[in-house]
Amino acid sequence: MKKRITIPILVSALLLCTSALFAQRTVSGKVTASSDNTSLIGVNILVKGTTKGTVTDFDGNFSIEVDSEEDVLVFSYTGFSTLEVVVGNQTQIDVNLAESAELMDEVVVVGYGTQRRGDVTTAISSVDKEELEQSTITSVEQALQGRAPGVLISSSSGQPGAALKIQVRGATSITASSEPLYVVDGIPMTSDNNSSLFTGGYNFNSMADINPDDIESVQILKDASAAAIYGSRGANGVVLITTKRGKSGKGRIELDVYRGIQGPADVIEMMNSREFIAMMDEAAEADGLGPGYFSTNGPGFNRIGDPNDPDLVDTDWYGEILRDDAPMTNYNLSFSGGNEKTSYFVSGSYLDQDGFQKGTNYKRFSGRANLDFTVNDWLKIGTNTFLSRSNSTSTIGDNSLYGVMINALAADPTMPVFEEDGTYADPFSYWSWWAFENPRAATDIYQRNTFTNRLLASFYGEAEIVKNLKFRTSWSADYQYLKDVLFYPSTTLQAIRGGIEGQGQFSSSENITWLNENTLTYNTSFSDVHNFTFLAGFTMQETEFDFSDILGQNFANDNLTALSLAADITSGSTTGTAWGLISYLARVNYNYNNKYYLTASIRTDGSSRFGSARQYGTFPSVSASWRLSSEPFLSDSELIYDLKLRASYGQTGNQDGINNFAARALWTTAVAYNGLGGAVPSRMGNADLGWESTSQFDIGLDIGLFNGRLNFTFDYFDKRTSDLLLNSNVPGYTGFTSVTRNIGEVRNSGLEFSLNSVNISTNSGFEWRTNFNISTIKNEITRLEQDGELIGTTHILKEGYPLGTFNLIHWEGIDPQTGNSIYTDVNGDGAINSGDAMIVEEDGEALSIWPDFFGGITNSFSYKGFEASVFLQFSKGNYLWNHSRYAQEQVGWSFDFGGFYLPYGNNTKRVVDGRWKQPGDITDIPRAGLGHIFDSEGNKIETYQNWQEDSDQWLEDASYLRVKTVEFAYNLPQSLIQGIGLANVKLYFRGQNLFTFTDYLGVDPEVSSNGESVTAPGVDFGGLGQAKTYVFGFKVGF
Amino acid sequence: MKNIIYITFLAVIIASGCEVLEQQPETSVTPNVAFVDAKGARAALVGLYSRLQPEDYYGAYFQYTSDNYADVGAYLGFFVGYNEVDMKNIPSSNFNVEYVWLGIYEAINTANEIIDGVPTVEDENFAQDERDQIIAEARAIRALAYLDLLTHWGEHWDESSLNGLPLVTQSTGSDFANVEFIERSSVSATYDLIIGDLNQAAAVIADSDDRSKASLGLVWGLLARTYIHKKEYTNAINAATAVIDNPNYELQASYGDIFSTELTTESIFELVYNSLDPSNLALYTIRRDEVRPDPALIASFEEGDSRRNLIQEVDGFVGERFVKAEDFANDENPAYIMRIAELYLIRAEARFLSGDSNGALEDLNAVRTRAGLTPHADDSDFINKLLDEIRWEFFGEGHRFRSLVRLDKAEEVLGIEPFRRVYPIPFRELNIQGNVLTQNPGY
Repeated sequence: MKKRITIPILVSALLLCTSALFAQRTVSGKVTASSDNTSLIGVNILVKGTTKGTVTDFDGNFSIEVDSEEDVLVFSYTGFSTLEVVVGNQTQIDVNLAESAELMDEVVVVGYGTQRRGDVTTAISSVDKEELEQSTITSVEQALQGRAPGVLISSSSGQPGAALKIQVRGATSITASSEPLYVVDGIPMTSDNNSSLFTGGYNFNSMADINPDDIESVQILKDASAAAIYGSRGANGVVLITTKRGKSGKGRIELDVYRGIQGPADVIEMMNSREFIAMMDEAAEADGLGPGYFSTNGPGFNRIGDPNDPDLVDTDWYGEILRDDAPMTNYNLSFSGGNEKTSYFVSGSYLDQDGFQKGTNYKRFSGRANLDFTVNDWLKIGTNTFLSRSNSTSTIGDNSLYGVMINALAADPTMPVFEEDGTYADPFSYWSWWAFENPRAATDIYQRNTFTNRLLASFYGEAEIVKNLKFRTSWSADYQYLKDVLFYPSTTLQAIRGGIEGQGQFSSSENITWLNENTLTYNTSFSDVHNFTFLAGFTMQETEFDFSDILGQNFANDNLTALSLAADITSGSTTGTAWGLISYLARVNYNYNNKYYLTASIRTDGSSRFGSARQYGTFPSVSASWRLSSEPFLSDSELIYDLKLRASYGQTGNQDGINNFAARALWTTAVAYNGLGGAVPSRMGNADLGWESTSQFDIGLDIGLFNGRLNFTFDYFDKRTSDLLLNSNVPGYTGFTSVTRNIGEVRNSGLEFSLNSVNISTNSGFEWRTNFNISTIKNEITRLEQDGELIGTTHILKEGYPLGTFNLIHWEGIDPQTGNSIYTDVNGDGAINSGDAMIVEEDGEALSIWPDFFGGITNSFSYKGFEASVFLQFSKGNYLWNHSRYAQEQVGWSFDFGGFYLPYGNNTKRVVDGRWKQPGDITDIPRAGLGHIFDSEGNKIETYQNWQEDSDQWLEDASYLRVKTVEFAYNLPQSLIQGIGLANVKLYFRGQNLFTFTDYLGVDPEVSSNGESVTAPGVDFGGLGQAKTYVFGFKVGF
Repeated sequence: MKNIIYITFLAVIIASGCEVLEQQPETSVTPNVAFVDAKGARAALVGLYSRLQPEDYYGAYFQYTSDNYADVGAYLGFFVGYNEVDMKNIPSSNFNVEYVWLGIYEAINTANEIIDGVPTVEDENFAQDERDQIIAEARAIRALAYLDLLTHWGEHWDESSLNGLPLVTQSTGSDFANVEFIERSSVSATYDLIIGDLNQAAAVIADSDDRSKASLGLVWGLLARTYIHKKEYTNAINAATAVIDNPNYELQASYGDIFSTELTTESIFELVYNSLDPSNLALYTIRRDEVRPDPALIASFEEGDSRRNLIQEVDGFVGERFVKAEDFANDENPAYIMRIAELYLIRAEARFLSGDSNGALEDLNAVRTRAGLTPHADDSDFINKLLDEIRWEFFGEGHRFRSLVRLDKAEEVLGIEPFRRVYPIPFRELNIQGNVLTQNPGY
């Protein structure tokens, strides 16, 4: 290894020796912006066809040595048109650069470097600061939804601080991760959920530790060539996040403050008490128990209440647990600036967000310092330091027995919140079997806090060893300390029904990743037209994770919750794990006269997770592009400004998401019997375990028309993952259930289209811009060893079908004559159960979470100081299994408690009018019925079921169009603010998730009760949905 | 000079990098370390007992699935796995059946590792006697596990049946490379393995009164349980008598004491749980409204039966519950894997079916009178009387279903079709590529 890196150094040393000196002349001058004549600092100036260059200083001045009068100086600066000036006999050259609307000059961050957009040969989507600033976001991924083609994002829960599900160009793996790699300023970030609290539905979002206000831009590397430089970790795409850095020039202070309120975007309407009792009476009568069974049969056990009683309790449970006025406040203060030698960006922020479900909150403090120093003419150093502390306050999770939303699903409306003595009403004393806990008690007294301290720190040094040969080394650390504190007092039903006096838990985890990266970059050009950039590097990283957990119960006091006060410690454990990665990488970028481009890269990774036989994996890629617009036949075109054809092919790997010791046979010592510690076989080993690899072909077209005012990008990709890391079933008689193997293939393919347009730009200052993108995705399992493996009772893995295909009992509908449900008895055994589950198809296509297409459109308008933007986001053809409805649409079904009948739970309002009432009714809701048929004596003679939990009765088209963000802003005129020392003042008002057009019956077509699951996605069981948010804010620059 | 600095710097980095790929788990060891010394072998034996404890096996599912399938328990929750069992219509995709199957084989695999691993331990302080005892205990547990499988998945009533079990008896070293696909052995081959293990264990195992682990009493008890299913009545009588005559065991005077006191003389093998190592036996019956006494069971008790008191209302909960596992706060509820009462009933059955009615009645009445009932005076309708006694004596302990099947009463009493006398082989097993197991006929 040592050899590989020293050779380029020696070669470059030779180059240094051969560079000769010759006669030169000095030209100097000043560069200014054409719009306001301000000096431009840091403009690149290059003698064309050479590698000789310089940059302008703090005042915009430069001086450069030239060889002859024929030399051409090329002035380039981000956001400005590049200008070429022939030196001639001038010694003073002052230049005025025009700002450009051209996308192609934009600098984009690629893996281990940057490139001009125009030179990019791969599929990269960018989301810039302006787009980030148009949304109210608390974590950066939220801003990517609907803005980056090919990136499918959904928000699984409205809990503040909950993670999003993000898939770049589909899902590639069954067992290993399908989430992208996040790289912040070159540091791959841990995005795992390290909390040990059971949330049932969502994960804590490690990405939310980052303050989104610090972010300059986000690039998503999608195709193999772009991502291959991240080799082993690039198969699911790479999200490169670049934070803001100081620019030389006058120091800037910026303060951004907003406040707002949040509420649920939608709430399911439930029956009131009157309607509930009427439905139960109808059910009992239909089954032969006579009229008024639940209302007038009193005062026995079966009497829920009199619907005509004016004092009848009528509790709106969703109203009790949700709020429309959850406040949210964010402060962000930053300082930035610099001179030729140093630049700085320092920021601090504070976010305090209440969730719209009572009892939830998210707070985050953060601070950042990004510093860069030019030490001398060959050495630059810098550091990024980010610190944050957050506290996520939650109640008992979405999908748990005593959870808030779950219990509210079908809670009895005749139950009060509080009894007359002020205690929480106990659902076991009321009329629904469903609720295990009073939903309000669940929001109020179940306490959970997750505290996270996060440090992201890196240090880099960049040395120019010889002209154009740069060595860069960086050392970084991603440190996360997380602490869960839970307390369920003795008054919770979980404690009461558990026979204990309160329960407490304390868990902590420490996750530290260190990373060292070393790269050499060399730029060179031959004969004016052959431009090369070489990159070679070596990186290594190691992650250590330690975890401890203590559970205790029986507390003397509900206010003192320290675990030292627990009478019984019921469990205590510590454990730890680790993994490491060593990588070698190389890349060459070549372009011929800015016309033909070629990029080739290769990366070899070794992972501690794999068997020694297959520890290393090599991932090559190549991409090429042809700028047709530089060809003579197009270069004079008025219409076509830029036209570029791109193609790439390459391989990337995956090792994330599997056990750190997946390849090894293990015995665990974490078992005990009768007070003694024991050991048992715990993992089946597979020495042949190796890398999962994804080969991807991408072809793309970039078109710029009308001087870059209208830009299109098309991409088609075909991504095939093989040697899938799969926890593959082994026969049970081996004593194991599965072993991690490289089995199976998955294919993702799709089309992506995006458009950026300046529709109108008038001299008077009115501008209308549109950004639009739309993508398709087709996901398919192409090879499996165990075809047809069932995932729970709702999903299946099957060749020819997408990941996450639903496998459910088929509901044919309601018999118009009887009002009863009809199910397909697939195996013909006369019973309807899990043996009758089948893949749900429509027009030959399996119904799944994968949309036919998805995307977003932003229209922004500006006139003088006014700005307005509307962002819509959509998805079509995605299905969601609305598991909640099985609890909410029982239509009277009751449990037989030995002679009395206890209603399953309250129903949704749509059941009131929508249910089957008389022969001939065509409806999708069955008749009211208890589920038992009685003879005239009241004896049960038969049972039936009009619902099946695991059936497609609840499978719904969750297509939607959402008005995601609407913003109005006003920039105070300079004349008004200059006098008081302000540089700019912007006032803004934003609404988020304002309307959603959908036929989906749940609260939010994006929720997922199985978190980020790839194999069993698309389930809504008491999902919270996203917040509707209104904020008002201002941004002031000094 | 600059270059030398870089090169030195890089050399340091690279040299320090090699260890990044060498990571070790903190709470696990590789199989070769498991049997490195006597301590390791003892830990493996403790591990074997812990393999009986999970919810999948004696921690809840084994007993409750079997009892709910019969006329002992009823299910009031919404878990499909239990519901399908309760409806007496178990598809091969049923979860409970899959979990129990997997859970039992996990125990068998651990036993296999011990039986093959203990002789290889190189530790001069590890005496041969102790090695033999450990292996004997492992054989006893393996026999228990195979018999539990056979009496639920195999056609145990028909020795000529080919539908026995896939038999694994050797260590695989937990290595996927050693996995072989095997066929089901015949019922008689399965019985042969069980009896072979028990006979080998009987020759070595200590006659201990430590009821928390396998002992000579358990080995003879399991032989009796095996022979009664195999319909070898003389052997069953002899084996049962060996346990009944063992002074370590006697019927508790009070039925309730068996469940309120730990490790009474009633117990031959009682799987111990404590609050740090809890069972889920009370979770399903009390904390959650799920596994409940079948109303028909409650109705079937005779007046004055003290066993009826183990079905009670619990403060704070609606309706009557099984309370043999009554500690729903700390879950320190043991699983009663074998009690001396079972041996009396086995001997009663064997004596009756081999023509000794008086002896049979005496054994049946021993259990019956302990519960506070008057003794049966004659042997009329003896098999039904015996089955009633099994139902009342062992509710929540998982004996009723296999007894009904063994005595050819399952179809009549439970109203199931003949093929449903065994559980289906789990769908997941049949769906594994390379599988050569066959499904039970009818499923």
